[in-house]
Amino acid sequence: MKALQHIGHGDPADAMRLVDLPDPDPGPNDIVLKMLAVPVHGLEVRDALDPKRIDKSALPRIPGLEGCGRVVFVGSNVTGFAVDDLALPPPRCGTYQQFITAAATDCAPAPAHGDPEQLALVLINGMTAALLLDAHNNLAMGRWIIQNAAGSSCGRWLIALAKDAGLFSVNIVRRDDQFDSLRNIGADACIVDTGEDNRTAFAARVQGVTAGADLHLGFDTVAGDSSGRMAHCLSNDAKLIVYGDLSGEPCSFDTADLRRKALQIGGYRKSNHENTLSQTDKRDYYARLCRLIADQNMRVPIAGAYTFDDYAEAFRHARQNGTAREGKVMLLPNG
Amino acid sequence: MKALQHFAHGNPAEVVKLIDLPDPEPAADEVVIDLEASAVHLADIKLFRGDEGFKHDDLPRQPGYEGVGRISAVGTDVTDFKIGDRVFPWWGTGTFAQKICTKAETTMHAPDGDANQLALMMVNGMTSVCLLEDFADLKEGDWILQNGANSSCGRYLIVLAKERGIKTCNVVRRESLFDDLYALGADACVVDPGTPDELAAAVKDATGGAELRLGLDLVAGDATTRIGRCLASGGKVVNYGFISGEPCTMPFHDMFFNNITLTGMSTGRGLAKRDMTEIKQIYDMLAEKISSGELKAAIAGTYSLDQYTDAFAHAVRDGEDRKGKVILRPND
Repeated sequence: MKALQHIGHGDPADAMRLVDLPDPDPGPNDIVLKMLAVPVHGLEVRDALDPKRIDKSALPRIPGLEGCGRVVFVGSNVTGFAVDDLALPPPRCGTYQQFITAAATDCAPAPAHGDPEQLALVLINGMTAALLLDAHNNLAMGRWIIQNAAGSSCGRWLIALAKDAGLFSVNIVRRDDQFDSLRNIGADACIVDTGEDNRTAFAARVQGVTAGADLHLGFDTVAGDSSGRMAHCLSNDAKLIVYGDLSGEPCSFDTADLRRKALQIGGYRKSNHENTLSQTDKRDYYARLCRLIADQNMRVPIAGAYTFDDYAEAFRHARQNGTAREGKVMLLPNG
Repeated sequence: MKALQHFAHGNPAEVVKLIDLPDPEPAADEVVIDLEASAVHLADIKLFRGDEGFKHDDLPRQPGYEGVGRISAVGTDVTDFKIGDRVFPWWGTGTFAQKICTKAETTMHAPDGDANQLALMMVNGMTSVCLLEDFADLKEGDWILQNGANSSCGRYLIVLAKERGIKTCNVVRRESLFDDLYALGADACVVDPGTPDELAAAVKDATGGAELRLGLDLVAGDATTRIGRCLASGGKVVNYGFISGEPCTMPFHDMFFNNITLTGMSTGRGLAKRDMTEIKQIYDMLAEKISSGELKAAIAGTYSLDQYTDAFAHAVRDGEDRKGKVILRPND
């Protein structure tokens, strides 16, 4: 079988190579997944480009954090999986392979009517959003949250998860042509922020689209001025969770917002949280995320899908930003 | 009697005027206080200017958060006070005036001692107590970090922390302040080198590598980031001022990798958390320490009401140039 191997550093076309590996040799507790879709994440692109991230001594290695496959073999001791089921491999198991062999207890079932390219984003992308929301959500149903970069894949997951938890979301995006697709997955209000109006005017616009609702929880993955603009919209004692810094700038907050409203601002580290979960807990999360895809319209835009032979093209696409890459890039290991 | 009136937002010298008003007559439950000393805070100046977040929609108004004075008249129902008693009026009673008329119920007895110092108790004293009590479960031997350590609040904090067995690491802008702060009870002093990593190294050095879980930020701007960088994993930065006039900055990476959190404190919220009995106990404690000289702020200058424009010009000056708090002496 074919696998994509990370062998050096530099342009991913050179840092990666397609190799032949032995066919799977599963044991009685294993299942074998024929991988249908695996995403190319920014992390994998950076790992290829930047020698500081992964030491040469750890190479060659097979990258790939998540994906979705079809069960083609079920070990004699395995229950809960059948041939032809869709299933998710163990997270971070090196999914850039045509077949994954793993203990069935480390895999998760996926609904047969789900789109494999969407299900391929459950383990990492979806899980990040689910844990992010659950770690900070002590809100009663019917309350509002606010987030920026709402069109990102994590942003979209947050919309769907918030809706599922009975919360309302106000979603900040850079262009109004995203409104419809966000509303389709459950966004209650959308607002464009180009950074042109001042914080007070922006907060007034947000009040306009939420009918003046109190905003008790904010998710910020932009940082810089965007953090302060969101902070200005939040209500007293609200929490603002910063989980990324797309702007590359430090968060910037008006002291009056911090002091008068006693905002609680912090980051979030998924790994610390995820490590506290049992396999059963995780499977419950995966099941919830799969259900949002299969039954609730949750979807992340797919920018392009590439066969293993075209991996260099896939990585080139994954390195693009903005309108050159609208969504996730997928690899299709079995074409 | 004379009083200052704030009638528009703008340059303090132009939007505040000195006016003559009839002497106030107390209602049955009120007292009249002749002010000896009234503190001028940066927040007063921000209110005059109408800075973002400081606008008042009830102009004209009589400014002045706090002060100390003596009772000159009492309402018919008032039993706790008599003429000549020294008292603190409650917050925000418009103390930039020769006389104020206020409720007896919220007025508190004041001890003997330096009026200029006592005039700072209500705001700065309570701020320091709330900062020490409301944001971390501090135990004897724990360290806290603060910038703006030579401010009135900063100096109070050193003394109040010391008394509770809490050690202070104090960030200031010049080494010449060290002796003063050590004399108050500071455990470590460092000059802010200007970058987060350099400050973190200096603090580590000065505290012998102690784990700092609470950082108090009076300065804002990039100083907030510098304070955060010095804290142990899970540490909390509490902003309570805006000396730099800049928004607080906090990099994502400090929050992500070191689990630093940022919040803010306002003394109004600190008061709201406490019942009146507790508040009065805290003020009694503070008044006694100020009266005895144990808590002592630097006084930059005193001005009569006539000199209010000079007082405000002094109050906006920076650090070394200002050297402490500006006090109005309404009846001098």
